Amino acid sequence: MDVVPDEVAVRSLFDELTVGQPDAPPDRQRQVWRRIRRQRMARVVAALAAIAAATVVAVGIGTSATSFAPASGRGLVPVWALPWPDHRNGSVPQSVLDGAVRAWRDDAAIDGTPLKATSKAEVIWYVGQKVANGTVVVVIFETESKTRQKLMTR
Amino acid sequence: MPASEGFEDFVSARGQALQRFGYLLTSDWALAEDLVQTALSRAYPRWSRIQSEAPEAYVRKVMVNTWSSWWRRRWRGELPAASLPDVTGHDPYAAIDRRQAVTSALTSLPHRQRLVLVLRYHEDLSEQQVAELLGVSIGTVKSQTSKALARLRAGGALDSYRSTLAGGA
Repeated sequence: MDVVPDEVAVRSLFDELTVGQPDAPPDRQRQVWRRIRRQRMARVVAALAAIAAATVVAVGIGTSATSFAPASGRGLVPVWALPWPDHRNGSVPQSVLDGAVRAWRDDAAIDGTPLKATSKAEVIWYVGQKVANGTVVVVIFETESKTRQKLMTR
Repeated sequence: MPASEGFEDFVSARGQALQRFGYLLTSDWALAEDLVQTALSRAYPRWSRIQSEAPEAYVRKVMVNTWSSWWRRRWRGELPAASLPDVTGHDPYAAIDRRQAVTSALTSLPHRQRLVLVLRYHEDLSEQQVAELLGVSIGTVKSQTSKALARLRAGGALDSYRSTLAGGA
């Protein structure tokens, strides 16, 4: 008996397996076009969603950098500020408070980045006053860096 | 629509051949049709570019990639089905049994081995072409082919074809 190579037997196997192939569906073209339209629609929707998402992010960034929200007792403050009232009572001159912020900023760093290099910080004051019969000055303020806000107490 | 020029002709002319190829990958005519339509719809946006080159090779590649992703997602670990494949009414029982056994054997092959076998011996692609299509080395194609054939041989799936062909020769 002749030896039939595996390859020949496999070809024969494939031929037999596909013998029962059904007729081409009459609407194959239409179905393909339908899928193409659906894919196009999906691409358009995805593109619009991406644009919308980018717009939201851009607006969000713009808003966080520039917008202000009302806070109790102090008018409008940046949205990143805490909704705390301002307790400065004038017992410590503002020039002294500003000097305290400058001194803090000179030796502070956020995530290893010196603030002097990153920050055009806006300072939101919460507390800046003398307590304990004038023997202690309490200072609480918040400032913004490129990476995050940081609440400072001294 | 200029971009679609030749596309419908291609679908009409090659649709059935592509469906046969899809069937040998999936063992299911309906799934094969789904695969063909999916591949054609994905090929269409690039039609103006691929039309002048080798549209069928491109569509076949999309079918292989699509089937691989479906297989990974939906059919990993599937065991060969015990149900009878679709057959025409006049098939004798022996042929039905043989087809069932062969279909089971084919389904039990690892995904990559089955792809290689169908591409080599149904689509008549060279080892080089199969390697390029699957993104593997020629050595891998050779070894996968060899393993697939050994598996079919060991399972007895080729015996009846071998004896039929030898008897007819």
